[in-house]
Amino acid sequence: MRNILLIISRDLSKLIKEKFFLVMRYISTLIQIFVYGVIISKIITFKNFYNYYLVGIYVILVFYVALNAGYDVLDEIRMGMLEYYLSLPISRGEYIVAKSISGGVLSTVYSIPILALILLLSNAFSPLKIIEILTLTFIFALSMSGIIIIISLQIKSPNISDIIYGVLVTLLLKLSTVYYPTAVMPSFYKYPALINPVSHITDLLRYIILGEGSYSIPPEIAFPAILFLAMASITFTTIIMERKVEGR
Amino acid sequence: MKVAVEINNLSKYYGSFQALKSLTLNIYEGEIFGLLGPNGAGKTTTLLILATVIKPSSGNVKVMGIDVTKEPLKVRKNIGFSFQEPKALRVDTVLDVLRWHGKICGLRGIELEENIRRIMANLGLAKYSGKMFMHLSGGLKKKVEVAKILIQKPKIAIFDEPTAQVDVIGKHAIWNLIRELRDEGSTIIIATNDMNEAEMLCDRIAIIHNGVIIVEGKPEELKDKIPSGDILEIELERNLTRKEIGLMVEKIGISNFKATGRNIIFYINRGEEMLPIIMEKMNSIGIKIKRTMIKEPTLDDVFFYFTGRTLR
Repeated sequence: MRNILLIISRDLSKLIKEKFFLVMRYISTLIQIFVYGVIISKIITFKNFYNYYLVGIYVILVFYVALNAGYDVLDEIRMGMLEYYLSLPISRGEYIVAKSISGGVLSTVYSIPILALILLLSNAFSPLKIIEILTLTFIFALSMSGIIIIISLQIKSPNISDIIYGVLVTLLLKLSTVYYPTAVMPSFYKYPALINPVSHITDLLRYIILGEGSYSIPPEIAFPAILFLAMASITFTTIIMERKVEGR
Repeated sequence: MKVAVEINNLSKYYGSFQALKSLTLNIYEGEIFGLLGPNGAGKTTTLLILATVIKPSSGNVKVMGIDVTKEPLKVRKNIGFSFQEPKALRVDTVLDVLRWHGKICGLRGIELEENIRRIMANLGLAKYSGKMFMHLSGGLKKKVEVAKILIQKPKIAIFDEPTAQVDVIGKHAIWNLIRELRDEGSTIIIATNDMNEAEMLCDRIAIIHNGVIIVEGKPEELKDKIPSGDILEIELERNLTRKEIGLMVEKIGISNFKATGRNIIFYINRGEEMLPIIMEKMNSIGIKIKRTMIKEPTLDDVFFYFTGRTLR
């Protein structure tokens, strides 16, 4: 446990030191909220689209930070850091669990100011909701980091990983309920969107923040799906790390 | 002496390329053991297998009696590995790098801080403690990499080319600290292609070439493997044909030699007495000599004697 905490605290301090990344990601999110969100909600007139969109923007932020944390493993492979970690007196399982949890912790911590802003703008600010949302954010981000870690460990080639990463991000975001409900999607887009974990977390958070009628996937389906994904992601990354990975 | 590392018939393939070929080797507790060989000889691969970073393709490796494939975590708890390419996060300072490494290896509190302070002072790193790792020169980065293991004080300390890119003063500081670590009870394994480093630092050396251990022993023992006491190096004005080499052997009557390009090395006794005789006989068959040198054998000569290649 001590080793896992040491890796998480190191990743957290690394994120804090990367001020440029932090500031730019916040600026980008604020532009989405105050420029694009305001304008697009004047065009799209269905019931309270701005609040609907705000939850999507929060999920996008969490999604990107989680992917970035998972992508960190690929970056460490590029820098030769994986060899170093594999030579340390920690198990490979501990290392990979720590990196996945790091992704969850970093995304959760990072998203707090934007979450507070979104809850204020949606008139839904409440301590209980914050706790619920942050818990779900952590579970979702951990899963996403894990998926990217699996890709990074399996492929290793930075160029191929970059391409897969790009396609995966586009698919997961565009074929989800982040921007639009399934009701407006053609049926052949609707089904992938309904099994997409990004849709599950988005609709679960919409249920918590905006209440009934704001989601496409009911919470009794979305919540177990998110939990299952987190457990599967941790299990698979640990198995792959323990069985397959070599330092070079 | 107790065996610290036992390697039996170790082979490693990267795809179809065989990096190690049935390597067998024992390293004893409390010694500084050197793996000497050129780039690509298999030194780093051997060390990475010892550290459980990569897996052997076949063969057995035991570190402190523990099998590296069966109980890798137990092995890693006994090992510290200083990499050829320094490893640290770009955004970390020197102090961050050393402190985190110490903590993850189980050190804490006053012991950790005292180790860091002492090693940084000895390696001249103290004034860079707050500087970001990525802004350091190559030599300083290397010192930080070595410092990690000196602070950790593992039972088996592995250094892959510990003084590459380091200046002469820094080299001596690192060598002294490695000797201190050995004196405190650690077993040291070093990979190097610097014969001076191997000779100055190592109690025993194995020369490795193309994934095979060619010869091993104490530095003096290795030099004794070269038959005859002296080495006579002759540089010619041009390359010799095979026929001329045959004629030269017949005329001079010395068969213990190596010829590469315009250089011929004779392994002979009483070099100073033999030199004028050899020169005269070579002249008589029309071989023009440009330069000659008589010397005591070095590890490079040992390497050359066994492989026909030089480490330099």
